[in-house]
Amino acid sequence: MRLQKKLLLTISSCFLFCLFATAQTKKITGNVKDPDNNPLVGVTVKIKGINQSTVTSSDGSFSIQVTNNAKAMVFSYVGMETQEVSISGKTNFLIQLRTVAYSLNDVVVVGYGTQKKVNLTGSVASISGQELIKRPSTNVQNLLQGKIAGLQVSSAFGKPGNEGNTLRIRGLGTFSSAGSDPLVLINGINGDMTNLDPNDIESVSVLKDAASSSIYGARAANGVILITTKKGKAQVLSIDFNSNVQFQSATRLPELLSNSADYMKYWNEGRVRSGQIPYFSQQEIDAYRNNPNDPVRYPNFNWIDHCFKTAITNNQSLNIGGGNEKSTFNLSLGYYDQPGITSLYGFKKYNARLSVETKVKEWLTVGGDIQFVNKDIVKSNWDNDVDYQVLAIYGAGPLYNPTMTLPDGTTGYVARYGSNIGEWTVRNPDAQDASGIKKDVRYNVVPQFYAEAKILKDLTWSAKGAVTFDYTSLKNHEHAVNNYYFKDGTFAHNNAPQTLGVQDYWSTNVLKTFYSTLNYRKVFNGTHNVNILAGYNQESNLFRSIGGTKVTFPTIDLREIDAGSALGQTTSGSASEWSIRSLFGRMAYNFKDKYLFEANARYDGTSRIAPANRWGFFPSVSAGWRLSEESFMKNITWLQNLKIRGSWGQLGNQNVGTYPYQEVLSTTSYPFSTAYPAAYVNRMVDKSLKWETTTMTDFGVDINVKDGLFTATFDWFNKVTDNILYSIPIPASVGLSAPTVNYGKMKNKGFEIQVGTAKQLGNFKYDVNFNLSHFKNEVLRILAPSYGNTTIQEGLPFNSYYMVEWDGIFQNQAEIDKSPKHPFNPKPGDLKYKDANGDGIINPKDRVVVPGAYPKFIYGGSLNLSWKNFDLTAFVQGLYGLKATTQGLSWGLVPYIQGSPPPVDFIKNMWTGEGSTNKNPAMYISGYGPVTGTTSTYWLLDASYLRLKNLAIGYNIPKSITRKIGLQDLNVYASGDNILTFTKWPGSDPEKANTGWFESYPQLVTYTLGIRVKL
Amino acid sequence: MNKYIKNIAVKSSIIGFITLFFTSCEKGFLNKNPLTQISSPTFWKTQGDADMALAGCYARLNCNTFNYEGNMALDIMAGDANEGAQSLGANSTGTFALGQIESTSGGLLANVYNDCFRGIATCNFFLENIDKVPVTDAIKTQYKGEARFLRALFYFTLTDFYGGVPLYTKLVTIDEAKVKQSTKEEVMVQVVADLDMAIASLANTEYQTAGHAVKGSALALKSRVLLFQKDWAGAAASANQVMTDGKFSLYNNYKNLFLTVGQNVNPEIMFSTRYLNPDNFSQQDIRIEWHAIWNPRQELVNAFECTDGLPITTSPLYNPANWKLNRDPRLLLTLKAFSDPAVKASGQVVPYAYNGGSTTGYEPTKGADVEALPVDYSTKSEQDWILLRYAEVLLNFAEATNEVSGPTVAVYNAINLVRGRPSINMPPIPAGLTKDSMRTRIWNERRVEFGMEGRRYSDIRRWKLAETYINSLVEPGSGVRRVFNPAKHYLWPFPQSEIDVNKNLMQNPGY
Repeated sequence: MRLQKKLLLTISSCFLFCLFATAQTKKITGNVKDPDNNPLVGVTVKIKGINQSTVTSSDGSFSIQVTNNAKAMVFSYVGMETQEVSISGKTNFLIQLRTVAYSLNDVVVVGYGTQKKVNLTGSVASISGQELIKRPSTNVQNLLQGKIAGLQVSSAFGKPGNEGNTLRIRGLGTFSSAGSDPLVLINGINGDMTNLDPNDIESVSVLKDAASSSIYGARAANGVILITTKKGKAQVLSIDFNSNVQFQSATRLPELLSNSADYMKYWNEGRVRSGQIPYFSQQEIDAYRNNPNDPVRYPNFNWIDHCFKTAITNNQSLNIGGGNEKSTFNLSLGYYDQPGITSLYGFKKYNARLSVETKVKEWLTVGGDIQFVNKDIVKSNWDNDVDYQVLAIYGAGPLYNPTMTLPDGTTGYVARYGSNIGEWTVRNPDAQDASGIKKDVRYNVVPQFYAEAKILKDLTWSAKGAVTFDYTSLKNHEHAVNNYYFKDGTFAHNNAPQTLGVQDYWSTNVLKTFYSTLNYRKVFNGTHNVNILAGYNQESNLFRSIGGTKVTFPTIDLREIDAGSALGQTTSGSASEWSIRSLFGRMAYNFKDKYLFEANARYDGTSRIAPANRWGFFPSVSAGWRLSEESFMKNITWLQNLKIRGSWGQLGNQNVGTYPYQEVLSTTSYPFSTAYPAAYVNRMVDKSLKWETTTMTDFGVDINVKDGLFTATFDWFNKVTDNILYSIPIPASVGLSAPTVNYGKMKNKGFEIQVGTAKQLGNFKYDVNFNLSHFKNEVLRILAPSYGNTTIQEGLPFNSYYMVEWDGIFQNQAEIDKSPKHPFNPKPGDLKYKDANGDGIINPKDRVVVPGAYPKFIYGGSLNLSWKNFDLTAFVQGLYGLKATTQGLSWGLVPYIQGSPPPVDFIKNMWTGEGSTNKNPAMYISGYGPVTGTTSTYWLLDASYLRLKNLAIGYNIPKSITRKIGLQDLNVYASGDNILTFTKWPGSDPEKANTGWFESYPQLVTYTLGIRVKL
Repeated sequence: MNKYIKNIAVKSSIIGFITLFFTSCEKGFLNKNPLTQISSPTFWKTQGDADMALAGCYARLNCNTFNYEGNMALDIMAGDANEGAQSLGANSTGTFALGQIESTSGGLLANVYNDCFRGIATCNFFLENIDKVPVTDAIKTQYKGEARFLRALFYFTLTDFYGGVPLYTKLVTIDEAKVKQSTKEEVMVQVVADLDMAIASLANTEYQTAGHAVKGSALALKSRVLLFQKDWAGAAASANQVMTDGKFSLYNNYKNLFLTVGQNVNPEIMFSTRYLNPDNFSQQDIRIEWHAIWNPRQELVNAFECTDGLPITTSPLYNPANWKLNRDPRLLLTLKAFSDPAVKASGQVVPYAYNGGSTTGYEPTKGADVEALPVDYSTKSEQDWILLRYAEVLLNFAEATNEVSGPTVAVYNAINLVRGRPSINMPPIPAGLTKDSMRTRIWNERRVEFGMEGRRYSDIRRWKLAETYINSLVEPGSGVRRVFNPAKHYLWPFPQSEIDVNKNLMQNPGY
């Protein structure tokens, strides 16, 4: 049957050929299929040698009018081997493309352009949007975690709409306020990647070394992340719909003592040990112990069970793309609704994006793209960097309920057990929730327009203009909530509101960007590849804010400013501006794709620096040698690519403050008879202040064996940041704050490895990737070392831990007597320390530098398996060698800090008498000198972890079925995030360990059920 | 070829147009100036500028050293109070009180140094530039007088705690600040010169209405300065000048003297750190009525006489079972039992919601506005913190005159005026006292009249009482003995960071 069809086609095409043989042009038609004989949609069909092309339509067919002298066609498609077919008189073609595991023609996005991956001389890592969305998370930052060697993403918490991520490329770039955040560009415009819907992303490139990032000059010191969004494809109408439901709960929560009688007993014990009067009488304890079934009067309340719940999120994303040969468009809409796993919290995100592009003339393309994002975040009005809600939950005692019946019969919130507990106990979590809410509404709108013109065959000009509008409104509402003592129902406090009344704050930020480039690309004699780029960029930014508060409102339901009384009202308003103007350029030359050279430079002028030295030059040079292209290696056929490369360059960090060089007077007011404006000189300024400069050297190797059976990339780097902003110590008697000068110097040195293997064996396909990176931080120049719990010294990693070494537990008095003299007169069962300087006394002079301020290495690995219609992906991520100290900020870890119940695990393992343990002290209370009074390594905990970040199983419904219901593809999947964690960190989540606080809004375990539909 | 060129021309002009359209050609594109701050090169042009800069000198008073926070903390060091149970930052004075005072200690030891030198720099900046402003000489003289009064206050405060300090009469550079300290005597010469200039140029009116320093403020400070130098005659003369000028008198409501309600029009206040809602507020009520930072000690309670004018050790009116009965009315206007609730003007009884226990069983009442209860973080206090008041002038006069000529009638009159203030009405000092016993009475009168106002730490050091009194104190609860080492503790150490940066600065003895 098939043969007959083919025969028929051939005959008919012969007939057609004969018919039009005399014509100037002829029509060529055909079909393109994938290895499984499914039609391939959107394959580019290009007539070789002339600028004429088309793409295949939804049934895989194409048709194109060509001149008679057309020689050959080239078929190309992402993920398939490009195929060249000679026309030689034929007019109908049946083409079957082969999949490639690894393509030498892969192109990556680089600064102001694209480049073939094999020709890169700098260190650029890239990842496709397709790969990213294998994990169903909506935050792009989270999706990048563990995916790229050298990029460290640390997530502070699992708060809806605010994961508190920090991104670091190749270590900590600087220790100043200029910051170590990489520059993020979305379609070339500076932006916030958390605004994006991951489904819109085409690719992400991470520029790590100076060669790749110096084209961004004074802002590239911490690396650059380039994100490109999807565009429509000609002749193909694609409609994609992604939908999922997620079940979220806390990854890890501490297990705290919830037996009230024990809680009271241990608190008494701890207080007695501290020389304080016990809080509870034996009768009180017995009453709790003897009435276990009276939860109203004698509760054993588990606040963690009470407050944490499973949240159900829902995520929808629709993407429509298409167009004709002249014009293409892409429209996407996204919606995400994420309630918190505690009360009050919630996040809603709405995304929309429209991209259009049209060929006005054969040589001129214009296009535009509008991004619209709305984020609505609600949270506890006590929410700030500290997460007071979680602090309150961990700190609440089991011996009282959230509410109680008061003597007058009404219901009231419980403050704490009794007034005799004369401590600043934490607030009742429920009362705190009842006291108000904080709303954070953000809009982000980015229209951008661009044009691209081919002035000459090899010369292209392009320009883009964009305006980024960011609008934020914050509203905080808080009112007093009366709290009572559980013991007798007497009034305790009104919840001590922090910002009573209504607080409104509105801000807008407008960033205007324009850039333009001229690009000349030519191949001379088929051997000399030349690519020259010159460009201009300017950006200006205006931030404005206005705020107002009122304290007293007639009712707690009125929440708009006008409803409040004028007494005690306040207003605020501010504005700031900056601008930057730049020239940049790139010259790349390669000889036969074998010897590669590139030079980049940027010349930046910034408003942040005084006119005399505001312009700076940031150059880089790099070279690569593809050994695999050498004749002596050509016969090693299994080696597709072997390249060695090196680069050197300089980058800047212009984020030195908005007006750091201007001499200004601070303004305030002083109330003579009324408040009178006041001005005084407050700070010294260094007018010669300039940006921080980073000099980076990089050496790398890229290997590809047997079409991706083994791929590897290795990079070694040395990154030195100089002129770090530094507040030099000055005599306080000057009476002004110290000037910020360029003084500090720091180094990050390290390596990155990325290895992978991929292969297709019949129906079975696998793809495994692993990356690992390491850096060593070293402070090279500071004026005065600082010594505290951490130390800053030349030759050491920045903020190295600096503490007294813990050396076990005193087992008996004799051991104390023969040990060096410890502070706070310890007893058996207290911490024992090492006398580092051997002077017979334990004091701050015994502090030693302890490693662990930075991870020894971070790593990530992914596994993709597919067999027939099934696919499975697994992704692990982790870090090793990081330590975190929790001393002092440890609700949920330190017994009785503001009444916080001790962890059950501590009670099981605490010292109970001679020889019982050498790992934990006897029961103590927060503030007990012999345990908490000395900054020691007892509190320095190992925060290393290995985590199964994601495991997903998907099934592609067979085409035979999907066709019947009018769908091209239908994929159903189930996935789990953060489902397995290996760590020594106690209780809470190890990932947030870098915040310095033990308690924080927990990370989330997420189970997802979803579908991906292609219409 | 022609067509080719034309083609390029068309393309280029389109590109050029688009480029021009977007590119901002403005010259000032990179010149961005602060939008909410004053640029100093363009300042000092109008009287408004001068007024703002003068207000800037005063605004330096709004800091720990010159409000309740630093001054009540000094009462911890003086042995009249203890740190509260929940250590919420008494400027580290709880530790200092035990004699643990080191150059690296920070807290109040560093705050006073920094706060005063910030004020001095602001005054010097003002004095250096005021002549640029086109205003009348009369205005210039008055403004300079105010700035020099403030500079004298800042320098005097420094010498009181650190002895000799670097002395600058102009804004200094980093290098100019790396000098050896001047002697205390040299600094005092400048302080007195500044005060004399202020006395000569400031208006002779009451202080409280306008809130600017007046002649009486400068005279009152001068009497304190000279008293501290044991220049008894000079101190008495300055105090006497205030008394004869007659612009100030004792206020008839001791309680309201320290509260906003009594401070609007007040004849007693001679200089203060001022607060006013909503722009300039303090946390005075939060800190006293909620955080319970400063707990008065039993020794202070015992210092108040009974209403018969006799100390509790001899008065028949004293009731050991109820310490509040028959006592000098200033006692309960200074402190209260920890557990006693507040009674509002309306008669409503409200509990204090202290979030820390009292280590001594007492809490201050002076300066604490019960109408603000229940206090929380939104509570904004606006009580002025009094730095100079007429009662001190009277007691300065009494003390100085007694040292010069013994317990004369004038001495009796001055001290009895303070004791007999309406609303206090304590009986006069018994007649026939010796010079020494009068001195003892005056010392105790200062202790109770200025209880919890931060004056006593300076007094017991200048009287050389500190080494006997403080070393006799035992901390309630822990039983630890307080330490005052006379070899070093009469002066504070310079902050170690200052010694590190300025090699010429000599650390005070013993540190």
